[in-house]
Amino acid sequence: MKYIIILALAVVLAACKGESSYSTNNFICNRSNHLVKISYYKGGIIINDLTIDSISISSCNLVYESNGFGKGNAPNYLNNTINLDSAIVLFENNIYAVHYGYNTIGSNAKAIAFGNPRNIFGGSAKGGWETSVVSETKNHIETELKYAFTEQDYLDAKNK
Amino acid sequence: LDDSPVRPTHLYLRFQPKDWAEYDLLKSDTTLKLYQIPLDYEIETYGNTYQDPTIPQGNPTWQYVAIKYDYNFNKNIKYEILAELYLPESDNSIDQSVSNLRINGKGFVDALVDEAMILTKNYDDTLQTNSANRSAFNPNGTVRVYDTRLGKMIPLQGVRMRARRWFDVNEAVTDQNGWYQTSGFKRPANYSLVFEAGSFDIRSGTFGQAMIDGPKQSSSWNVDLWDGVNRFYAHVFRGAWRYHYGDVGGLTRPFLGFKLKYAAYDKSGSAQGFNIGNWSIFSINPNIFIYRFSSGNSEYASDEIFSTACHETCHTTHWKTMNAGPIQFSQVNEFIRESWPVAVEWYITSLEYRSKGITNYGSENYQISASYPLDRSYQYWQKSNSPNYTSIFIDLIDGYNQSQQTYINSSTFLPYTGINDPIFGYNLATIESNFLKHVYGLTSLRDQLKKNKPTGVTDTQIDALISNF
Repeated sequence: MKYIIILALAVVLAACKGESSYSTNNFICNRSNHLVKISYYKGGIIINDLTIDSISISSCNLVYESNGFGKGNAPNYLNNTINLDSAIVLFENNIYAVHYGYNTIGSNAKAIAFGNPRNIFGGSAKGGWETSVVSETKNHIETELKYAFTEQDYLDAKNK
Repeated sequence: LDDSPVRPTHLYLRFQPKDWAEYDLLKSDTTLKLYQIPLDYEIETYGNTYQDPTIPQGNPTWQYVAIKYDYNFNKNIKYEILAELYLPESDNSIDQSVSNLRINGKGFVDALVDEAMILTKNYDDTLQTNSANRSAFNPNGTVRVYDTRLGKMIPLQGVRMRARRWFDVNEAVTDQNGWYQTSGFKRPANYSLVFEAGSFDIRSGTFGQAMIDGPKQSSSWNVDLWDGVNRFYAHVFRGAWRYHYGDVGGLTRPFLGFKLKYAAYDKSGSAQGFNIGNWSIFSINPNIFIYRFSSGNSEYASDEIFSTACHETCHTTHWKTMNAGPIQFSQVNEFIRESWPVAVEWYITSLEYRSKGITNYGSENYQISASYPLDRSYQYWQKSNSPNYTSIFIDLIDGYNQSQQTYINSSTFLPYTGINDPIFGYNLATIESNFLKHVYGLTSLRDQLKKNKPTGVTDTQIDALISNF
């Protein structure tokens, strides 16, 4: 009888395995000395829902967050912009940079192409978007994705 | 005194269940309209819960009730009779000639009750002298909850509404418009809202009934749950109610031989919810746990809470589908055990929000900051997302092949294309009723899919889809 109870408990415990989960926060930061505004475009039309009006100097804007089941790679902000054509990053004083989206082949030689480490749409494992694990336990992982504009980005835009 | 026509019509008593098993046993008698507050006191401060200070936290508090004098209640549960009551409005033995008497313009019973109220200094409970206020009032109102995804108030269907005038309780359930109306009272009534339905119950944490004590008034009580913990309870309730009673496309209902208990926590958890199984041996344990906040202390959106309630409830039905056996269920691998609820929560939540006006909710082009699978119908899934919480059952029924779409990997930031999903035409309800109980892992799933494939689907296509997982 004792063994039956132990077996039953073991079965119950096996059947009651907890959920694993993730949480992620995605940020766009501004480490330049100028305010930053980002406008996204698709087919020549501005996508107002995704416009970031202002990122203050030395601050970060939370652009995407998600919490869900499963411990693994979380969804991310870049999947919201993957189908867009381009972004215009406006610094102060009318200095701006054009970033091309994943499928964009344009004629603007000064544009920052997808795959360039400084491209806001991603496409490069190093030098642009970065990921880090904030905390991790057996059943949970919290990650952070971050892209930061630098003073060099401003200078590059100004000199183009 | 023996000549007096006044005889007790009711007993006012209180129960003290020794544990939650007895509490459930007591509540299983739906004739008893139990309250955790004494019925013979005016309530000065309304709230969500009341625990008698003499009862340790975590134990069921006293349960107060008025019952018909001759009602045969469960005497095995500790109880105290607090008073014998004479409720003239419920006294059917009053002679017709007496009840037709008019005293100062009032009927006999009204005059008698008024006098009792005056003697006990409950002046607010006396009838007004003008004739308009003498007719019965049916407590009524509308219950709505704010939905953060929709950005508006929506009706809350299925919650139990109670109107109590001292010892007399009338109840109603909100309809699809959130409207309720109980039978009538002539005097002000104490309102309350209980997050409970016939086959499930929402607890305010591990123990305790999730409820709202409302005002005492003789006008409508309209409840708008804009924010706070009551909004959270309401969205847990919505998900549970839809799964139990609403349109779920033919999926199995989570009806068990006992009330399914949802512990709704007003705090953060490492996951948004979990299910510990279809156990109610001692009626103590909740079955499903749902959290209001993420580990980062962000409050989940309304559709996420709704969806989590569906996901966790699906574990209950899955367990039930596996011949109701823990042994069978424990042998189902985690890939199936989690991928199935992923699809079911996506399906039911999509039904809910499409019916509320977001016509592309849950489709591949619906992008939101939310838990998967709500965001883009989880079509961006790849093995590194999560090997166990997969999109496979969604891919069996949707009509979209995500191999035509590019996504960005969250670790490398490099583009990748979605998996090849050439299949369309399965149905979740059919999968569940026809062969889910024979599915323990990827191999048995593939075999069952081939045995039960709909017209137009080939074995080659099934192999192509399965090879992604």
